[in-house]
Amino acid sequence: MSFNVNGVPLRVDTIQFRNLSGNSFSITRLDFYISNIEITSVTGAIYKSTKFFYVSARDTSTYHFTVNGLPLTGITSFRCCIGLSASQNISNSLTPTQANLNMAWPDNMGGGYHFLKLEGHYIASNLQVYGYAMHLGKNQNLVEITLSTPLYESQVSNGIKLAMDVAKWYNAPAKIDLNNTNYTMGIDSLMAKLSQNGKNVLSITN
Amino acid sequence: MRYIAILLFVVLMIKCRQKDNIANTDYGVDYPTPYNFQVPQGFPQPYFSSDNPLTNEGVDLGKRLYSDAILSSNGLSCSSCHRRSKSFSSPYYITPTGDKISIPPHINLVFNPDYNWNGSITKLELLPMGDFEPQFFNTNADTLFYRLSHHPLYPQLFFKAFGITNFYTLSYEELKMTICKALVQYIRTMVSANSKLDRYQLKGGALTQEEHDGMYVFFSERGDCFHCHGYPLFSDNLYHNNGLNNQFIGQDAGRNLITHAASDLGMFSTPTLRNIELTAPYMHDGRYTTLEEVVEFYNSGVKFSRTIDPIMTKPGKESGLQLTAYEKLSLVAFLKTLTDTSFISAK
Repeated sequence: MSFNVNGVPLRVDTIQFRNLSGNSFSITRLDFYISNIEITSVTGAIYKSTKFFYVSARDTSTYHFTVNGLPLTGITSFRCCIGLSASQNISNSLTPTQANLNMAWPDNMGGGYHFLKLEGHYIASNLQVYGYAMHLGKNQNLVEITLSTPLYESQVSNGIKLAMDVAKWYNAPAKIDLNNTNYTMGIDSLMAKLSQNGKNVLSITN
Repeated sequence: MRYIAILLFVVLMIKCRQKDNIANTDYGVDYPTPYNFQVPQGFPQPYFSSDNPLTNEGVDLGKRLYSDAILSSNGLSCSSCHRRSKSFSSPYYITPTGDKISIPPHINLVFNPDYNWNGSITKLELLPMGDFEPQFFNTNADTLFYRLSHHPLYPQLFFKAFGITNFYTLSYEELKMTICKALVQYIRTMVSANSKLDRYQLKGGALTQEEHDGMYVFFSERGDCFHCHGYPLFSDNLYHNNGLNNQFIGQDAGRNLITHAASDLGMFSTPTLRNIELTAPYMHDGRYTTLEEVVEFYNSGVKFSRTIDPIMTKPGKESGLQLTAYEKLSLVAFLKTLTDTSFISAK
């Protein structure tokens, strides 16, 4: 897994990136779950994993994760979700690692876990620095991603390389201007927009 | 010649046992015995040191030393400042540079990856080392060696815990580190998980209506406390700038003093809120003396800076939460449900 913003490698904590709305922003936190990995091989066989993985852009040890039983042939498509499936998204159901505890979504607000925490600072239209916190949760906002990128057998022998373009969380189909939308948790309409944009954030770079 | 060889062999064996912390046998009993640490339900895995495993003997020794002025030349012990009634916290300490620092409680430290407000310590065994310095215990090395060696109990207790048969085989630094290991073994067992809220969450205990309403404020966007102070540790074990300052001089620079990163200015380790009722004053500099003042800070006193935590700048709440008077009262009532009286009364 790797991270970039508009193709530029992610560097946390510095206001150096821009989204389509023209906001200059930084990224101080990017934590999320990847789950429901499904791979279709060139033979048509479909391989599904029930595993989920916590990824933090600040922690390179979370960049690599292993799914057993992958096809040894080439693949025609890769699917996954950002977030947790409904059967996993239940309060206190995950092993209480500090990371999982920090992703808890309060029962008051529906329970389960944050699917995504994307936080940072931006320069507002009044030129002051504000914070933003794009938090995603609740089952209806699970981000389902399909990447129809055919890969030859030789290309997948060392695994599949995923890249996240963080700017795409803000760009399309919903253009998000941080001056208007800098906090999403508990606001269903905003989380729905974020979830839709999330379908475009990953790509395969093998 | 033969006797000299045997004597040398015995000395070497003793040294090896001291270095390797091999189990000691005394009257047919093997020491030290592993300590059975129980992780409370829902808590994360604790942090232990591979070079200082918890043992019954080490914990017992540490507990005794924690309250014993034998370590100091001025009558102080750890418990002189880290008072049980205050959840083993200490109100504050004035640094040599004049900064006032509130001393966090010795509570659930076994779940922390690092220590002190700015994370200056990454190995718990090093935390008590500074206490031997003149501004605290003002320990005299010769006196310490003498007192421990001539004490009716400590020679046996150190032998059982660490295989030490003669204090004078250790350097002063080695002796201090051994003492720290014992203290830290005890500190690692200081776990609080039996507050009123725990009993409510896990055992069907009850909260008052006010406490329940405060819990809603805490675990919802009204108060938004949960993002940093989530259950069960009531700390995310991360660093944040919570908006206390917009200028960062001296200790107010926080994590920046360690990392020297501009992005860490004003960031501090999230303190646990367990037993928060007992650990006044609050914040890294002890600027608030009551929980009501703390809540009012979050309600109306947040200061903007370039490193302020993004959670603190929600639309419409840029300078604070804007809670109602009742919400503030209920939030304080809820915070008091985190008090664990069994933790401070345990013998």
